[in-house]
Amino acid sequence: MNRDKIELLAPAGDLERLKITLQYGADAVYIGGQAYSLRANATNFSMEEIASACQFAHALKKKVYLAVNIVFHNEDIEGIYDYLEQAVKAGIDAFIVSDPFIISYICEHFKEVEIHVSTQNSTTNYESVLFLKEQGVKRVVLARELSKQEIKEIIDKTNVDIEVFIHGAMCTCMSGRCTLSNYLTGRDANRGGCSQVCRFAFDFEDEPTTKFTMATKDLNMAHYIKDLIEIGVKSLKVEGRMRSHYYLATVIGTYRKIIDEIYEGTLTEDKIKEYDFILGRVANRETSTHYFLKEADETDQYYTGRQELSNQDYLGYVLDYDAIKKEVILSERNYFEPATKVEIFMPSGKTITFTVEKIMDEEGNLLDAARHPEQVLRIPVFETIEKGSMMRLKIERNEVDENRQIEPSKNEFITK
Amino acid sequence: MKLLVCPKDKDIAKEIARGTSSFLLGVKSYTTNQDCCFTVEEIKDIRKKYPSIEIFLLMNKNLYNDEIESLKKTLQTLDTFALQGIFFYDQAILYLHQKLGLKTPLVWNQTHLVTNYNTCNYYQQQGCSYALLAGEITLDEMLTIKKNTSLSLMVTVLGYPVMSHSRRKLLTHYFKYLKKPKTKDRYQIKETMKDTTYFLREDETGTSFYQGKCLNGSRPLFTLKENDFSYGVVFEQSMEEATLDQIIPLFHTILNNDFPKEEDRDKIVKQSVELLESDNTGFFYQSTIYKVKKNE
Repeated sequence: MNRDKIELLAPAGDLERLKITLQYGADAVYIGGQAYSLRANATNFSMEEIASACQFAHALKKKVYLAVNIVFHNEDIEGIYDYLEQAVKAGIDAFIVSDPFIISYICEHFKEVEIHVSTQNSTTNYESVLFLKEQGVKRVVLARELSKQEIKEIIDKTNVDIEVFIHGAMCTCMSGRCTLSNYLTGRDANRGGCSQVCRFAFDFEDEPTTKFTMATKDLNMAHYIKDLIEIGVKSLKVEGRMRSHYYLATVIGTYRKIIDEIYEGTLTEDKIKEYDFILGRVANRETSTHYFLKEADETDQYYTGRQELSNQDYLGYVLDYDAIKKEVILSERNYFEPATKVEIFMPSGKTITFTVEKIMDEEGNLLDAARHPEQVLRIPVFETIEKGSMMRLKIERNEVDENRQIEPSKNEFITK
Repeated sequence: MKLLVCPKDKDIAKEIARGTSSFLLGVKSYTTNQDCCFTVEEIKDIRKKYPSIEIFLLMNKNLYNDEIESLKKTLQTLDTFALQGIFFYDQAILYLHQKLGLKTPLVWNQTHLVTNYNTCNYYQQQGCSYALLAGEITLDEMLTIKKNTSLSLMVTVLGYPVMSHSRRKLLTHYFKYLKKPKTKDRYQIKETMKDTTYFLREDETGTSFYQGKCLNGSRPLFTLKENDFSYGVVFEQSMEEATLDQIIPLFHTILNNDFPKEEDRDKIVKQSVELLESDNTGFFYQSTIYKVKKNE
């Protein structure tokens, strides 16, 4: 096995998400600035925030990669040189780029910063990787359409750092080769405006009853992390800069455990099933491994009748722990009552399970239920809880997940 | 400026009769988004039979490891055919071209990615001679690129624009889900909100998506010609023979004659709209939005 530990790379749409993903075990995060990245609709980072992000990450000996991966039009070039310079000064460790002109510019002017080629380049073979290596690229994020064998051969023949996606939403079409959003909605897919047309339903000729859809299931590589380590992949990337705090903490925390336990030699089949179950609970779609083991087929897609599940497992975010009263102080996220079986998972990876005895408001008044989002609550817990932990419903793996239903939220939303 | 025609079938003589002398030919196993592909032997025969025509090859698919060795041999063979150029998408072709010291000119053809002059200049430094500009930029952007690069430029002016490509066999998958036989390789889909039709085509490279309305670049063609663009590219796929018999000569007319008066241009454009039953000018005069605000 490759003993140079593989990198877990997390998405972060803003500074808060960045802190969460790093605290929950990511080795590096990728972010977008307020220009030039492919998630124009995410909050994204101002230059001051990029600097703060780098300071925070570097203090933990972790890294920050900045996506500058739009497909540049003439007008977008204006300002890019200053932007790159400011980002380097802010302390970023690598640029994620797809345009080779930008690659050449960075190579020439900022030798101290790594260049990672975005999946937007749809790199699918070793000769393309060698071409990019010659241009000064340190790492290539491969196209998501490749098999294990294809990835391995690229690594063996190029000696370039290879990054692959392991979890999250998948595009139906090849990155960089899709402008459905431009044509159907006028939003530029390759400049951060993708309107996700591949999740639309269409009428299909000669098929009056069943809509044509092309949406894909999400990617989940939890069972194959060991394979990716063994073939020499350098970095494992999780998709989702716009995902919730709870989703990111759960996914990153779970993959952290999987990776660490592989290196420690303690990952059992039973544990991986447990981790897969946790990842499944936080997802709102079914998952598959897509091209990794076989050519993607109809089992990797969704057709009419699918429902996206609304997850209400997340009960609260831990603001603090009152060691004197032995109470956890949390901000409510979803409805729960006394006698609910819950677990709190912490940034360090520790998880505790208990049954809620009583719920109190901030002043200590007893409540019959937690029903107001973001209400500050106190709950007795006898173990010390780390700040930034999250509380969720405890759901046993042997509960039949197929029966999972969409339930209306019982939270009462207060209009301010 | 010339018209560069990617033919819908292998009848080159018919195309020559329409006035075309520059051809863009699909290459079997290396082309995506196109029905009509030629074997290397067929290309050799065409070169021999029609020595005075210009031949460019369309090698625009994403390539995979197991195709690289045969690609090398194919590129070396094609290099002996005195071709005018090879359109490439995958950077493997550019890299092999450099490593093997091939002489055939290269055309940067990364479909939707050819959008600015800096990157055109970059590819020129890498040895490319031409670029086919993306169909998703405006005519003004094209003119700005032209002013800022000495790379020879091509623009798609006629045909059904390809919008997207997936490695997935989306039609096969859909019919498997329906438990019905897939009887053809091309189907129409309709987006009901806008009542707009598109079509999908599947081959061994995956599934391609096309606009359902033909691009009519007759009006911008006047401007492109005046600004010394090299080629207006035509993709004939899915167009009717009867339409092609008239529209191709009409586009040649635009390129081969001067039309100083606006009313004469208007007449030609009107004629093209009637022939094509389409006034779709794509993104020539309409830019896309890319920054989506929170409240939209």
